[in-house]
Formats: sequence, structure tokens, C-alpha cells
Amino acid sequence: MADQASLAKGRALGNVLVGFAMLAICLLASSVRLFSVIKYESVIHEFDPYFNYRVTRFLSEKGFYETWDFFDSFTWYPLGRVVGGTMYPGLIYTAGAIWNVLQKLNIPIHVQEVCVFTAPLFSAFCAIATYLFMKEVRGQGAGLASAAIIAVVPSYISRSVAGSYDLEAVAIFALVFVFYLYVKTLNTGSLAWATALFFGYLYMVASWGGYSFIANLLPIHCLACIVFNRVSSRLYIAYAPWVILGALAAANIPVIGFNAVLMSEHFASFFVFGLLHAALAIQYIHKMLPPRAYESAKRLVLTFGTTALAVVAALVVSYVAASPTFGWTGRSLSLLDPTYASKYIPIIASVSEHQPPSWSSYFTDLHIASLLAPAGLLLCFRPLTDASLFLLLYGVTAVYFSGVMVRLMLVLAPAACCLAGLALSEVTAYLAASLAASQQEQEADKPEAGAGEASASQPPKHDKKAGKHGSKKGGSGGGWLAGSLQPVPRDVAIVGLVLVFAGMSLFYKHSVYVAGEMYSAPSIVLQSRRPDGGVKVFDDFREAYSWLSHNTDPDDKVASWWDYGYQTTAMANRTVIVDNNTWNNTHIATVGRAMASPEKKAWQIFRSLDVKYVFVVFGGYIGYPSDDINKFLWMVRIGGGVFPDIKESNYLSSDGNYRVDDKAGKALLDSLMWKLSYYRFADTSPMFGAPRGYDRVRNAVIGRPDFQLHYFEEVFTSEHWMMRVYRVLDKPNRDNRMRNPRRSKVGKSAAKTKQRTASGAPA
Amino acid sequence: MARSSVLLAAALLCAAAVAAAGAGQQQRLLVLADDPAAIKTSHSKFLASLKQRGYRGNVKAIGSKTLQLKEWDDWLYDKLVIFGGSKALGGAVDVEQLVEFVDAGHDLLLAVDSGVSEELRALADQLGVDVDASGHSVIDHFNYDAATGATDHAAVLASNYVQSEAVLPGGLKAPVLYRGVGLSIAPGSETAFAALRGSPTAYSGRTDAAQTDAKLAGPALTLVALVQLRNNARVAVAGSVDMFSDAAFAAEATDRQNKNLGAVANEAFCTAVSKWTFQERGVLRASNLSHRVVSGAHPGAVKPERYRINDEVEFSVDIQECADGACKAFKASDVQVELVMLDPYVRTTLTHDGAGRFSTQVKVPDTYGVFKWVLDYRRLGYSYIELTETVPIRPFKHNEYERFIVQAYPYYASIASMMAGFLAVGAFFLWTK
Repeated sequence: MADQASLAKGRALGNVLVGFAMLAICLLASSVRLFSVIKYESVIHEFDPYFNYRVTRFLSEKGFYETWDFFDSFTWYPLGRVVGGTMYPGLIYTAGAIWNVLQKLNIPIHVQEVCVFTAPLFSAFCAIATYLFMKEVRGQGAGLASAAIIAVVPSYISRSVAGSYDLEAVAIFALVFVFYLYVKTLNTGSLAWATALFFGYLYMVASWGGYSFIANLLPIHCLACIVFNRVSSRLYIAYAPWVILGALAAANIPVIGFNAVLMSEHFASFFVFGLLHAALAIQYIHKMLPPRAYESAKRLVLTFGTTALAVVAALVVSYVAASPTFGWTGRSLSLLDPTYASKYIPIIASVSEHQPPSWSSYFTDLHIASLLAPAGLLLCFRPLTDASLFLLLYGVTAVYFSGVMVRLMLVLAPAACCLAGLALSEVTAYLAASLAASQQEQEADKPEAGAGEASASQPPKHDKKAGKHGSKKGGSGGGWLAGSLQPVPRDVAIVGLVLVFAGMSLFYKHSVYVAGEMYSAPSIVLQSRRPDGGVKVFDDFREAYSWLSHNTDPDDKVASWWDYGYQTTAMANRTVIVDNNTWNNTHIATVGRAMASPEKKAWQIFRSLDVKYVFVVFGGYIGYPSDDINKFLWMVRIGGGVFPDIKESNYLSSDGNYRVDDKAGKALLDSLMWKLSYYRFADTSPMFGAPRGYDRVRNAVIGRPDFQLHYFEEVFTSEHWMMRVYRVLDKPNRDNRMRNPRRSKVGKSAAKTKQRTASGAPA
Repeated sequence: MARSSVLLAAALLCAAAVAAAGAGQQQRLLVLADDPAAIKTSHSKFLASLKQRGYRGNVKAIGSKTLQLKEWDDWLYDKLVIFGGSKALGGAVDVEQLVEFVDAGHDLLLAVDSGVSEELRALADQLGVDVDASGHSVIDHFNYDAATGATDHAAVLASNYVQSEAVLPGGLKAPVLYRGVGLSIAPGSETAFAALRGSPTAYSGRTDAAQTDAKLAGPALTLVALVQLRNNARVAVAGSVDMFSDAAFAAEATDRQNKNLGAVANEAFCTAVSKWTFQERGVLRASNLSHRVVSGAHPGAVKPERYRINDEVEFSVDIQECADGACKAFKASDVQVELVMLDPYVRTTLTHDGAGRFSTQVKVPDTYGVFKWVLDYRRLGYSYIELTETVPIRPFKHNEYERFIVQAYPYYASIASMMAGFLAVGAFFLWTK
């Protein structure tokens, strides 16, 4: 009895410890993401967050209903964009709800602050969700270890620093939370949890297009369960309601709508849904019939089942084959066939985060998790439960997807953290158990106490499971290693623990460094170190946007490459032609074509779109590499994809290289983008001692330093020349210099040309 | 975001100018000539008619050292007449400033002749009219005036005038006596047109040499060109200074058989040209642009922020025609309005009620987007009207669709039967043992 009481007391103490540990982890997860606010300021980052911010601002003014039906006439002029029907509303509604609650509590905080701090808040939630998930998969120890890793894993930090107000900020939390709910339902077989799973999935679907990862991972898991003969009523409760209700949930988000039953992304779940029922039917018949009758019945069911399946498959195949992408959305197809996008959809391939990651980025972004995750994969098999099978499949698929797009490292991050947490907790448990065992040998008269102390003295992330290793129960007890291997000697265990601690310390050091130095830059404000150690700030983007908002008519249309569309609408509050929501390829191609065309043709295109101002981002003055000249080939490709008169080879030098010096392709030198970027550039000297017209990004002297603009007029160039704004000139007031070809040819005088430039207007 | 932008608001300015003239407020006029004293006597009738129409001003020498059009940023004159010769521009005036003068919305009547100075030639060039090569003049061996041009055939009788009620209401009863240089307008010109063309037998050439390859001949040879710039400022370029003279006004035409054809129409023609140029004729004034929803999301809404797709809407605008100082309702059956998003989705002709109110009722397209009403009315001799009004068209809101549609009745039935079946099975399961 006393033993039981002390065990309960120990467990209570353990729970309190876990609570404090989780609190610490949450605080850590949030605070490590605040570097961006401390080093820069509380500002929205990058491109897409500006759209989310703008819609959230709209929501705070007009309310939820108006946002749902938001038709935006400020973007995609003149097409407009049905924002309510083309966005994932989860993030915006979340931030809007938080803002509303704060207002109700009389905390008068600006929407922008709410938006800035949403991501750190949800990364704390994500740590909790990870803890719950891994607790269901293996136990508290694995949960704590995983939470401790995911709190600071750089890959996730990169998308969730304060100010990074992007869909992923809440979506990763939602992803892990849906996994938790699924595994919880799987473990308990409770309909209540299945209902919770539906709501969790609804939130996920509302938050991020990555929901299709779940929509395919769950069927894969279910299929694996069927194949490995693990079908149970718990699996049915977890899977079947999700298929139907999940599809309904997805169909209710306007951006998905009927895609939930029409696109190939969702077919797997329905297919496995049928298989699951067939498997259950066979199981049921197996139970009901004598073996011989079962054999024939099985054959009957299989025959009918196969026939029905064949018919359905034929229908699906004929439906799918009618679509050029086989029913997949372009983005999904580029995941299944990594070469697809670069062949057919330059607009997807042009985005840098859609490129495959380099090997080094695995180490930078995952660090110790990339080392521990394979061990975690192995440990999923010992023992293999439904839940650990799920984790296993999640890990394996996520590794594949991360290899296709660097952006999907983010999906891998929770998987890698969970697997690494699993391995970490098992190893630590084993070492701690060895330590305890050796201590038990030494002090045989004091059982348990030493082990309890040993665990309590560990840092929180090294969990307290060692103390329970003697009383493990089911899959959630002590580590498998600790239970099945011989304990190592005391000294080895101590060295091992020190090494684990050192590894984790290095991981934390690395993560904090990366969070502070690499991932906190908001990309609209740039910093560079001066030789004297000070910091030079480049605030050109906001300077130019603010110039636009103060010096142009509110009705004016501003054209730029689509990367800057969201920023222009949010910061300059002007109508744009294209933006980062790349839904209309033709419209983007039109702008790409204008940028790639000679000045006069570009002028005509922009006039036809009612464009009043055009701006380009130029880095040649200060050496900012991601400028429009470096993106220019993508404009050419995207424009050329729709308008065949734009040919990429014309923009390359004769040896097939993209260069801006005197060997540059003629079309490049004539293009509007080139002219707008380099207009008057040769007259400045960006760097001491550099030759005239020296471009610091391309490290070359530009091919044509002196030229005039006839159809555009420079109106603003920011301090470091990073943004250059031009006005599209009006149609001239006079049709001057229009020669009648039939006029008499004699007596022409040179004096006539004297006044030609008087108009200053294009001919 | 319904906003109205009148691109060429100059139409209103010009109309205001006409109204001002009608109200007796005098317009400031400057006449430039090589020799002011000579012009005052030789062109007294023309100058008197200008004065009589309310223009206050004087005649100055074109080469005067003190010549000034602009003081600081204020223009000193509203209208300008140049009887140009070979003398260069003097004082602060140069071609650039003259171009600026018309770009600022002022009107210019420029008359030159064969001995035109290079500056005035360049000025005409800037305005879209090409003065033929120096030393050339208009020659017609068939339709010349025997009284004044029997030797060189360079005093031609031109009767190929523009058919426009806005410029020459009622047309001309007699030919115009013309002695001067030929002009030409490029075929692609959108702003210039000829008020007086050469007859089929006229050509531009030298009087002292036989011409066998005259390029500029027939109707392509322009004698008097009228230009309406995109800001609705008007310019007349005449290839003859003499045609405005008292002598020409009083002349009688004689054909090559020495038959008297009666008085020439120079006075009527020159007065008409000056009236058109100085915005006394052919001025259209558009105002009161309005549009409202007739039936749809918000019936009766005037100038709504946006339409919903398939709304029935009414577009209306008031257009008045001002001539000789009085404005009256414009009556035309060819005024069209378009509803444009990249391409025109609707293009329809406006009907008028006889009192100057043009309107039409259209159903907006079943396409959402940022549409704009575009009324672009360009007719020969009339001032341009270009009005745009942006009205986005939004799709249905989620709660504006019909709740129940007939096509879905089978599905409603299937859902109802499913629910009934579930209740029945549930009851059966619960209460039978």
C-alpha cells in the first residue's frame, strides 16, 4: 500500500514537473522567435504575410462576414480577386479572433501587433501539440523530448519568427494537432475524439493547402494497417468518419469547394475508405462462417469487390485522364514528379522556395534532429504500434517531400523532431536506467529512491521516465532499449548522458544562433555590417512604398513584377496588376511580356492596362542579389510561355549565358526591364574605384551605359537605388513629326530638326 | 470606389471660354505679323470681325524685341493669330513656347505662305502639319483665277472644303481664292484634318520650273489644315496669308475662260475657320455623368460603389453643343458607351431625350472584375468627349444565392429519405427485441 502511495505521489510529482517543463518549452519556443522584433522592429515580413495582414486589417474593420465575401478590386487590375473565395481563412480568422477578444478585454492593440505575434504564439501551441502527439505515440518522455526539439528547430523557426505572418504559422500547429487527434482516436477508439479530429481537420483545411498531405497520409496509414492486418474497430472509428466529414469540411472552405471530391489529391482517402470496408466485411464473414464456407465466400467477395473496384477504377481513370495533369493540381503534381513544374509551369518553378534543398540545408535546418531521426525510425518498430506506424509513415513521406521542395522542409520538421525526440528519450532512458541499475546494485537496500533522484536531476528535456522503467505498461511505458538491453556500466552511462547533454546544448546554441542571425531578417528592411562593427540599414522598400502612397493618386495603378504585389497593396495602398497570388498565368505573362519588350511595346501594353507607374527593384548599386534583373529570365520564360514572340534565347548572349555586359543578348539590352534598371546608372559611382557602369551584383560593366527613355519618366529612386519608380507617360497631346510620305522632297532643311525635342513627349 | 475621372476636362474649359465670351467677357488676343502696320490695313476686315466678336487685343511685330506671351507663369493671351512671313520670332517667344501655349489649352491660328521662316515651319511640324518645301506653291492649271493668276496659275480656286456642320455649317456657296504654299497631313494623324483641300488638278510645285513628278497633288494637298489636339486646344494652319486679306474678301472669281463666277467665299470661309479655331463652334460639353442600379442588389442606388453581376443599370450623361456663344442640347444618334474590362463587354448606343440627356439601360455582364464605363466620342470638327467611370462588379455573396433550386430536388429527396431511413432503422434497433 505504501509502495502504491509513493508511486502515485511520484507520478503526481512527475506530472507537475512535466507541466513546468512544458511551460518552459513554450516560453522558449515563443521567445526564441522574437529576435526579429528586437533586432529590427515589429514589422510584417516578406511578401505573402502582407496579403494576410491586409485582409486581417480588412477583417478588423468590416467583420467576418464581409471578409468571407471580400471582393478585392485593388489587385489583379482589372480582373479583381474574390479574396474570400481564394484564400485559406484559418490564419486570418485566428488573428482576427484574437484581436477581437483583446478589444473586448479593452486592450487597444493594433492589428499589426497581433499579426506579428501570432506565429510565436502558435509555435508554443505547436510544442504542446507535439508533446501530446508523441505522448500518444510512445509516452511522456518522448513527448517532452520532441517538444523540446521542435520548440527551437531552425526549419520551423524560419517560418514562424515574429512578423512572419504566413499560413504556415498556424498550419504547422494544426498539422501536428490533427496527427495528435488521429492517433488519440486510434488509441482510444472513441467517437468523441473522432469528432474532435473532425474539428481539428476543419481548422487545418481552413489554414493551409498542405492539408492534402494529411488527406493522403491518413489513407496511407490506413492502407498500411489493412496490409499488415492491423484492422480494428479503433482504426475504423478514427478513419471512416474522417473521410466523410473531412471531405465535407474541405468542401465548405470556398477555396477548395468541389475540389474536395474532384481532384486526385482526395481520391486516395475514398479509395482506402472502400478497401477498409471490404477488409472489415471479410473479417466479419470470417468470424461468422465455418472455414470452408468462408473460403468460398471470400472468393465471392473478392471477385465482386475486384469487379466493382475495376469499374470504379476505370471510371476514375477515364475522368482523370481527361485532365492534362491527371486530375492533380499543378502544385501537387510537381511534388509527385519533381521535374514537372520546371517543364510546364515556370511560375511554380520560379519561386525560390520551390527549389530542391541542398544537403547542407538539412543540417542547418534540422541539426541534431537529422542525426537522431533515423534512429527514431528504427525505434518506431520496437514495438510497432498503430501509432508508431503512423509516425513512421509520416517520417518517410515527409523526407521524400522535403527533398522535392525546400519549402516542405517545414513538413519534415515536426516528423524529424518527433523521431529525434523518440530516439533521444529512448537513449536517455536507457542510460538513466543503467545509471539507476548500477546505483541499485550499490545501494541494494534503497530501491527506487536513487532512480527517482537521478531522473529529477536531469534537465526537463531528459524526462523522468527512467524512474518508471520497472513498471512499464503497454506502449507508453519506459523505453524499449531500457527494457530489452543489458544496462551499461555506470561510467559509460555517465559519459553517454554527458554526450547527449552536450549534443543538445550544441543544438540549442546552433538554433538560437540561426534564429538570431539567419531567419530574423524581415527582407523588407535589410542590414549589413559595417567594417567598424556598426549596422547599416537599407530601408529602401518602405521608402519607395511610402513615396507611392504619398505622391500618387489613390486611383493610380502600379505595375511591377508579381513578387511585390502584396507589398504594394498593403504598404502603398495602390492598385496592382499582378501579385503573389499567382492565379492567372496569362495576366502575369502579360506583365512579363511588357518587362521583356522594347520600350514602345511595353508602353502600349501598360497603357492598355491603365498603368500609371512602374517600378523595378534594382540591386546593382549596393549589391542586393535578389533584384529584378536576376529574376528577369523567369519573366521571359513566363511571358514566353503564353506569348511566343518572347524567346528566351534572344535574351542570352551568343554563348548561351545570361549576362548584362557588352556580350548580352540584344533583346535584353532593348528590354524595358534592362532600361528601367540601368537608366542613369552609369552616371553614378556605387563603389570607389569601380569602372563606369559597374554592376556590383553581376560583377560586370553593363553593356549599354547611355540611353534615353522616351515613354517612361523616372519619378523616384530610393536612397540605395533599390527601388526605381517610373511614370508611364500619357499619350502625347500632339501628333507631332508625322511626315506625310508624299510631301515634296526638295529643300529639306536641317533646321527643322532643331525643335524636335521641344515637346518632351513621345512620338 | 466609384470615381469619376474626366480625362479631357479641357472640353469643359473650352465650353467655359465660349460661355465667357458670350457673356461679354473679352478674350485676350494677340496678332503677330511681319509688318503690323501693313497687316492692319491689308487685313482690316478680318481683324475687325475678330474685334466685333469680342476679342480684345492688338497687332505686334513678330520680330519685336519686347515680344512676350507669358509673364512668370501667367499667359498674357488666350488666343493667338500669326500671319507669318520670313521674319524670325523675337523677344522671349520661340517655337517651344508657342507649343507650350497650345499645350496649355490655348488656340492658335497660323497662316504662312511660300516664304515661311524655318521657325514657323517647325512650329507647324510640331502641331502635326507639314508645310511643303520652301519656294513651292499650290498650282492648278485648270482652276486658277484668271484675274490674279493668269501668268503663274498659282492663284487657285479651291472648292473642296470639309463637309462638317461643326466647321462650316451650310457649306460654301462659292470657291475660295487661294494663293500660297501647300500643306500636308500624315495619313495616320488622329488630330489634324483638312478644312480645304486641293482640287483633283492642283499640285504643289515651283512656279518657275515645269514639274513632272509632283508628289503632293489632288486631295492629298491640303490648303487649310485644322488641328484639334488631345487637350481640345485648336489650331488652324493656313498655307496662305493672302486669303484673309481685304482684297481676297472682296475679290470676284474668274475662270480660265475669263467667265466671272461671282464673289469668292473667302470671307465666309475665313470667318468660319477662325470661329472654329477660337472655340466658337463645334464645342461639346459633357456633364452630369451618372449611373444607377435599376434592378439588382441595391435597386435605385445612384453611383453605387460597385455593381453585382447581372444587375440592370442605367447610364446617363448630359451633352450640350455650344456655338456662337450659346449652348443648346446636342442631338446625335451615334453616341456610344462601353463597359470595359480589358475588352468591351457591353457597347451600346445612347438615346437622347431631345434636351441633351443621353441615357441607356444595360444589363452588366455575368463576369466580375473592375469594369469602367468609357464614353469616347470623337467626331470630325467636334471637341472630344472622353469620360471614364470605374465601377467594380462583384460576384454574388455567399448568402445571395437561392436557397433551394429545382435541379437539386432529387438530392433533397435522397437526403430526406436517408434521414427517414436512419430514424426507422434506429427505432427498429432500439425498440424491437
